[in-house]
Amino acid sequence: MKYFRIVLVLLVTSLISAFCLSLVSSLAKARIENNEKAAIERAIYVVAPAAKKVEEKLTAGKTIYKLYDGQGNLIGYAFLAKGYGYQGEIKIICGLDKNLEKILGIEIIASSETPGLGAHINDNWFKKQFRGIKVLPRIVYSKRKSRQDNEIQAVSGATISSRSVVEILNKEITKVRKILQP
Amino acid sequence: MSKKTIFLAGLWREHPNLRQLLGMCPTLAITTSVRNGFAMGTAVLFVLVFSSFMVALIKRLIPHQVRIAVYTIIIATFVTIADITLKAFFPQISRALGPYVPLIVVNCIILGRAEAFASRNSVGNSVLDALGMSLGFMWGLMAIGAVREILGRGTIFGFRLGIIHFRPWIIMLLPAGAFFALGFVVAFMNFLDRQRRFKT
Repeated sequence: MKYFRIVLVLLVTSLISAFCLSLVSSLAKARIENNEKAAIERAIYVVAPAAKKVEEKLTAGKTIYKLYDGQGNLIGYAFLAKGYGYQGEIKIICGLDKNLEKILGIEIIASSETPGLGAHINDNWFKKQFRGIKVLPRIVYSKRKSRQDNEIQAVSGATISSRSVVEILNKEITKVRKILQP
Repeated sequence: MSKKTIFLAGLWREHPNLRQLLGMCPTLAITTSVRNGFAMGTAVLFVLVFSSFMVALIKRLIPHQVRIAVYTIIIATFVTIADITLKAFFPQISRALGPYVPLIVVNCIILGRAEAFASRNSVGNSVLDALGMSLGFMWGLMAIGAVREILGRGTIFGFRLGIIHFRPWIIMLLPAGAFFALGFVVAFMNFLDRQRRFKT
C-alpha cells in the first residue's frame, strides 16, 4: 500500500507536468519559429539593402534565399552559414551576387566570442570589409590592412574568431556554389 | 516569525547568493550587464514563487521518500515554462542568457527553499519567503552586473556614462572579473553590516 502511494504520486505529478508543458509548448511553438525566421529575414535586408523581395527556396537540403530588386531582377542569393568559433557557435547570414563571385555582405546573427576581443567580429568595420570581396579561389584573412580583393583584415588579438568567420564562409560558399552551379 | 522577518530574510540577512553563496553559476556567468541580471532575476522570481507555492500546497500529499523527486519535477516544469516564454516573447533576452535559463533547474536556491522552507510552512509564508529570496537574488545579480558593466563597458543599463579618458577594463567582462565583482560586493555587504553592529 505504501509503495502504491509513492508510484501514484510520482505518476500523477509527471502527468500533470507533461500536460502543462505540452500545452505551453504548443501555444508558443509558432511564435518561436516566427522569431527565428524574422531574425534571418532582418539580417538578409542588412546584407543586401538593395533587395526588395526575398524568395525562400529549398535546394538539396539547404535553404537558399533568392533576392530580387524593385524591378524583379535577380540580384543575388543569401543563406545561413554556421560553425564553431572560439567559444561557441557562430551563425552568419551571407549574401552572394548573382554570378556567385562576390559577397554582397554578411551579418552575424549569433555568436558567443570573448567580450572585448573576439566579440569585435560583430563590429561594423569588420563586417563591412566583406562587402564586395571575391570568394574565388577563397576568402583569406591577414593581419595587415587588406590589399587583395579576396582578403580581409583580422580583428587584432582575435585571430581565431576572425579565422572561424572566414572558414565558415568559405565552407558554406563552396557548398552553395555547387548547389546553384552544377 | 513575523511576516516581515520572513520576507526580509532573503533581501539581506540570509541573502541567497551574497550570504549563503548559493546559485553561483548564474551569479558568475550572466552578470556581464545589469539588464542580464534583471532578466535572470525575473526568471528565478517566477520559478521560485510558483515552485514554493506548489510545494507548500501539496506538501502533505507527498510521501517522504520521493519528495525531492517531486520537487524536481515541479521546478523543472516551471523552468521549462519560463524558458519557452522567454524564447517566444523576448528572443533577445533569451539569447543573452543562453543555457542559463534551463539551468535554473539545478539552482540550489530553489530546491533549497522548497526543502528548507516551503515543505514545512504555510502557503502564504512560503510565497513570502520565495519573494524575498528571489528579490534578494535579483538585486545581488544586478549589483554584480552593475560593477561589471560600469568597469567593463563604461555603460549602465546600456547607457554610455561618458567618463572622459576611461578605457573599459575588459577583464571585468571575462570570468575572472565575475569573481572580482562578487568578492567586492560581498565584502561591501559585510562592511555595511559591521558598521551597523558598531552603532547599535
